[in-house]
Amino acid sequence: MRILVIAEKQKFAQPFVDAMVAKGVKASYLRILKISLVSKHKNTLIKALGEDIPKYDAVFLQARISLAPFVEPLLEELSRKNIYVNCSPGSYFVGMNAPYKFVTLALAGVKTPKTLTSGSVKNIERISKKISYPLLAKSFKGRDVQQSMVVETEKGLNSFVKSVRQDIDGFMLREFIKGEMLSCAVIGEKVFAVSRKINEYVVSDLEKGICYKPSDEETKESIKAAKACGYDIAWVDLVNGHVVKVEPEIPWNKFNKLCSETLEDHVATYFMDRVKEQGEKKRPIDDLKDIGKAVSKTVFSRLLK
Amino acid sequence: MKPSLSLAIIGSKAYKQSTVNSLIKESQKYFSSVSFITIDKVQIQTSTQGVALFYKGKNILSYDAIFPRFSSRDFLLGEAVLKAIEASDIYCPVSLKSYQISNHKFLTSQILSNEGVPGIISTLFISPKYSDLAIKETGYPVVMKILSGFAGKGVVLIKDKGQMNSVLDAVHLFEQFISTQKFVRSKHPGTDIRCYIIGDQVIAVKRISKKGDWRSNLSRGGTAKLVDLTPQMLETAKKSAEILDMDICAVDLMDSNGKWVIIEANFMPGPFKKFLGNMVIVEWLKLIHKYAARQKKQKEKEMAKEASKVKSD
Repeated sequence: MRILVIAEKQKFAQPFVDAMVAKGVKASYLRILKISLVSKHKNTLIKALGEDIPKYDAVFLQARISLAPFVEPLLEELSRKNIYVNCSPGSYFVGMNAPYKFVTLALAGVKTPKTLTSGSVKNIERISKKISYPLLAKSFKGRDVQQSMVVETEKGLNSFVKSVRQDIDGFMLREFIKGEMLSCAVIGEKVFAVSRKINEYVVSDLEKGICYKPSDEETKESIKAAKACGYDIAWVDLVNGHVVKVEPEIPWNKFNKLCSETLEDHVATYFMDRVKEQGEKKRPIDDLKDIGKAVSKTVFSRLLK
Repeated sequence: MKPSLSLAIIGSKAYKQSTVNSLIKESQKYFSSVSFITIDKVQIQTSTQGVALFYKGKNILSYDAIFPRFSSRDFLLGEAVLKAIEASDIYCPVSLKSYQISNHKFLTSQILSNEGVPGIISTLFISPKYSDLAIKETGYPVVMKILSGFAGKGVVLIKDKGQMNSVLDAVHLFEQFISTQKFVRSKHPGTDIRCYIIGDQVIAVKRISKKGDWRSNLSRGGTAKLVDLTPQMLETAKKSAEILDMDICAVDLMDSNGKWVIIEANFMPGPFKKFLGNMVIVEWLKLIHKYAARQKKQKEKEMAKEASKVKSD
């Protein structure tokens, strides 16, 4: 079984490589920056220095959502080559656009807070009548959040409007749900959760959270949210059972520390199960090459030559 | 009797007034009710109850057909709006997938090429440091395209590695993703063929660039004339639209060593009013009307079937 870990930096990837190797998997790391894609004559090559990606059974991808314009063609190609990846084609497009993400979640029947989105700030007053205070107001330039604040009254909303630049591409008003925030690391069907306090509309840092055993309902909802966005492994935030955030990247070290777990082991096990499910690739030539490489490092290297 | 149908045209924030005027005027000949809505005025509502789109208090998802006319500049709301339309039973000549793919130059080339549509070798990379590996496949000169560019903007012809390095330095500074395409020496330099695909019909226009400009986008000057397509060109155009899941779109073809290859696909092509008048607009609307009527009839049939089933139960 061969699994490739693609990440931006080796320090993020190495714990996963080690966890997989410890379980007998042939795992290696590839820096995403080294990959280039070449589309030609009925085929797309995934070029990476010294690495032949299609020989892998699965790829564990951990990359920033802002890399979506590169990640999407990569996911498309890995999927076409029947290589399992923890996120499906299209999922990074979902991740980088908040209004699109909330539409996707709502259509999948995921419990989300009431959210209103529009392009022109001129509409904000009329739209705000459809939602109750307090609310979370966000403005966007392109697909990036430009400004975000909690608004308690109409007066507060007016000052938000005044503070927003006129050339924004849209704004979002989201019902602010009271309660504690549950940050969940979803790994397949397993959920590891941390409970975080919300004081005066400010969520405490993840580091200050407490390990929490999610209810069946919370577990189900967080898995459903991750899957709706196309992620098998994701960070999902819930408040009072409502999903408020879904992202493909997880702050592994923080979750490990708070939950006294080694989540990398769970990821490795999850990947192994998935590969077994889909069936390992048959690759006698690659296996022979590996044997050759191993022998070349021993006293028998001359014999091999 | 023609069914009475309603149409919503959802336009870009930066719409072209003359095109919109023609669209509205022509659509009134086919539809009993027509609304033009700029995408920034659409209100998207999501909750546990589902998704709704509103314009001035009216539910947009109650129209019989929706004709999206927005560009890559409208991504923030565009993807959400198309996702909501897709989940409804309204006729729409384009899809979310087609919007995402056609606004990504490399993804378009990748998906079409994988399905056997003749294209030009294209590359995509993040780091200028590792660009050599990709360029090795195309060789110089290359046409470099910024992924988010449109209408010929952000397109540069690069002759050698030195030029490439200086351009990459600038581009990397602005955190842009780079796609390159092998520069094709055409038998007809500065000329390409724009194919409007409208259902089964294809209208082809030869575009000739302004003197001194190697790009043939009409928005950059130049002229155009109607042409007939060879069977190979016709097949390439139709197959591209089918793969990209669009009933209405345009694809640009150019000659590469005697073979017509696809350069790019357009989700929101301009109708070339200056050269073609309202010809393309009329065909668009005829098609939307035909398909929307068919879909409505189907919907009514299903509803009647459902109602009779409930009655018999």
